[in-house]
Amino acid sequence: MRLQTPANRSSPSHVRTAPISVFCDCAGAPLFCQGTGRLPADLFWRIMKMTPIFLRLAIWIAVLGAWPAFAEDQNDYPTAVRAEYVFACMASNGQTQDALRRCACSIDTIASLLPIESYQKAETVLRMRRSAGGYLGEVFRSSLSNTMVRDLQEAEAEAEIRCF
Amino acid sequence: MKQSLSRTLAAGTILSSLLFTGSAGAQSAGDDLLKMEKNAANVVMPTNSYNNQRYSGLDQINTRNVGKLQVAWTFSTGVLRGHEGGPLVVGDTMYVHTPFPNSVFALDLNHEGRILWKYEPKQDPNVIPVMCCDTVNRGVAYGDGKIFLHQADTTLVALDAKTGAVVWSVKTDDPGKGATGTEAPMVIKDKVYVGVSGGEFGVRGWLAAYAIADGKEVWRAYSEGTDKDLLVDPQKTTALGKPIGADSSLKTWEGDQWKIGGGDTWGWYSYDPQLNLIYYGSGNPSTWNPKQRPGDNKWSMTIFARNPDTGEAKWVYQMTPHDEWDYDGVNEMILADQEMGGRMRQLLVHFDRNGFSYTLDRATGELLVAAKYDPAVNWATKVDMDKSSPNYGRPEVVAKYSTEHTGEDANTQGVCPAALGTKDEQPAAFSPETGLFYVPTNHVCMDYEPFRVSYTAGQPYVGATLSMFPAPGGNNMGNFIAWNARTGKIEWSDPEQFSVWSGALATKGGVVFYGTLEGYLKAVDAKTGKELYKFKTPSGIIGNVMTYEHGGKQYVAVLSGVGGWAGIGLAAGLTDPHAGLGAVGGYAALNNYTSLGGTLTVFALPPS
Repeated sequence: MRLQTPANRSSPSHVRTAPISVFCDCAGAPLFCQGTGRLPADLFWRIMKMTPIFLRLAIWIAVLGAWPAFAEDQNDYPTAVRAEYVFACMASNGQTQDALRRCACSIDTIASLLPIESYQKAETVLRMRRSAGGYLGEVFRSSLSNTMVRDLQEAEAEAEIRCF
Repeated sequence: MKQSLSRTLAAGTILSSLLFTGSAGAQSAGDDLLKMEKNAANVVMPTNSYNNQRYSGLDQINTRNVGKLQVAWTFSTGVLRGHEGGPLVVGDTMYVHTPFPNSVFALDLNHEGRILWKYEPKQDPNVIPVMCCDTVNRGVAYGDGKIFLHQADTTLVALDAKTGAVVWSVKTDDPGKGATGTEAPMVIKDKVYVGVSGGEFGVRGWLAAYAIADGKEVWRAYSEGTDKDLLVDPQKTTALGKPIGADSSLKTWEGDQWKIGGGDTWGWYSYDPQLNLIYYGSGNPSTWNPKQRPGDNKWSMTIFARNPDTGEAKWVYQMTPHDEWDYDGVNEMILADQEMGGRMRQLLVHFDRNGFSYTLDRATGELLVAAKYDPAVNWATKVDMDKSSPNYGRPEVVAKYSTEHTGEDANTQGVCPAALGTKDEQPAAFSPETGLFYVPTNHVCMDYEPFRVSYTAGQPYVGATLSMFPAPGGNNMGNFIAWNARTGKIEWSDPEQFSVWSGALATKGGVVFYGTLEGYLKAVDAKTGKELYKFKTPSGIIGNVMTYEHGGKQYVAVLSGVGGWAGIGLAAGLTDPHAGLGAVGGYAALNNYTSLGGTLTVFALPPS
């Protein structure tokens, strides 16, 4: 199963470090999501159970206080954007439950690494390269455009490692 | 008369149309349009109105409530590639066009866009490679109960507006030599006007008038050639107030190069019913290598004002003599009456690809203002406005950025704007409320290396290698600006990450709309440029925003679709046939999914 071709070629050493996510890599509902992140939700609950009541309140206050920064870190992509990616990914990798899981993991990873604006910039460049006729497409091959695409490719390379 | 005519055509045959279409009936078409364009509920021409202001008198959607806009309905065209232009609304019917294969749909607005009829011409796909810049089409025109479409293969076709049946069709040029149809026709009185694309193939440009009744060619005026070909009177036709004299075009070309000289007419047309003049611009001279075609190359890069009945040119103005950068002069001519120097003037305002905005008196062709509408423009310092100067009206070219000066096989670097201009065909809008022009722009520069090229009919005749990059000093490749054409000053400027290739719309509600390549429809405050609303459509927007009213409710609509569905950008890499296992099958699957490509998104306010 293969994801983005250019990303396949880029070496993992070029991959940017992911922002540290405390509980798991799923965006949107970090406290409750299931998955294979570094500190999954069930672990969080286990820690909470072992914690004395008065400390649990303090932990909740800390967690909720950190929420807005969290949401920002997680670059909450609109559901339509994630669904669109999964559609494309499954068209390429198969209409199976397995592909769905991997493709969803892939876009969630990308969303955790790349702000939505950067994602849309890269997407626009790739789309215009494919489609803008003649010299109209020229500016989408400039070094600035290459940089925009590289950001996405690096996130995709990381997604490849984590999900495929 | 018009009603009975449409019914006749709906019933029937070309013969009946020939029999029943008297000149009186045909005459009424243009008069109807003059009345119909005043009704803001309709959009009866691709330019919104004859004056190309792209201003709508509708104000249900305004600065206070535009933030609440929602998608009312969408329509998928089923065609990928760039969707330029915008739909028409005539009564209860919307007419939507597509890029190649140039389908036309009639949609029933009483039933959320149900398809009433579809026209899809059979065209030779060999026309695709001779389209320089994507397989675009900028729209259809309406008049006399017919829909007019200039197809990629230069077939001009008249369809019955009620049934989609072909009433007549005529070939306007030869795609075999690189001529194509991309522009939106315009109907004036009893004629329909079309031009041609093909500057990259040495196609000599022309504007032609066809009788809307039967498709008979009435006149054709070339951009280059003999006075007879040009439809000029050497004594009466003027340039900057002086007669152009005999052989004005031939004298400015070496030998018979004018025959493959370009100057194509693929932009927008506007019309002043009082002055009875049709306005349009001609494109770049062919080839892109200036060394190969010495002289001013008249009348490429020129604003024309012609009598629509006879085609005779009243005045001309060449903006970029001897073009060295591919700065086509085809962008729209916006006709607006504004006070200047203490009196009302009949103005023509034109945002040229060369980065200068020109304000002229549209009755006489007198040049009033020529100013840069992007500070990045560097190929010329200014346009000489001294009437006594021998260079009056000409740009003062900077040697460093002159590709003629640097010469063949040498790279002229850092020229601003790039070949696609500070603005391309995507039309600007004008609001009589604010007196400002709203202009989608490119903020991109280029390196340009001309080389010698020989002409073969139907083969690219370009002769230059280009690379493009954002203008120095920033990362934004576009701006959406508000422009004062009387002073030649930018009032406000909203930076955009990418060039803005969507046409603007100004409304009485104080809201200006445009689209972005990321796919956002944006609404901004006409006074300040403040963003009031944005919505992500399924694909990049290079279409023109339009608004209409149906059943007492205002709608805003725009075509998106450049590169198809947004996810395809990612999918393209993902499905590279060389990518490895599984990818080839995936490519086919994805193509099926993305054939949903171009989309018309229609917006409205939620029920209150």
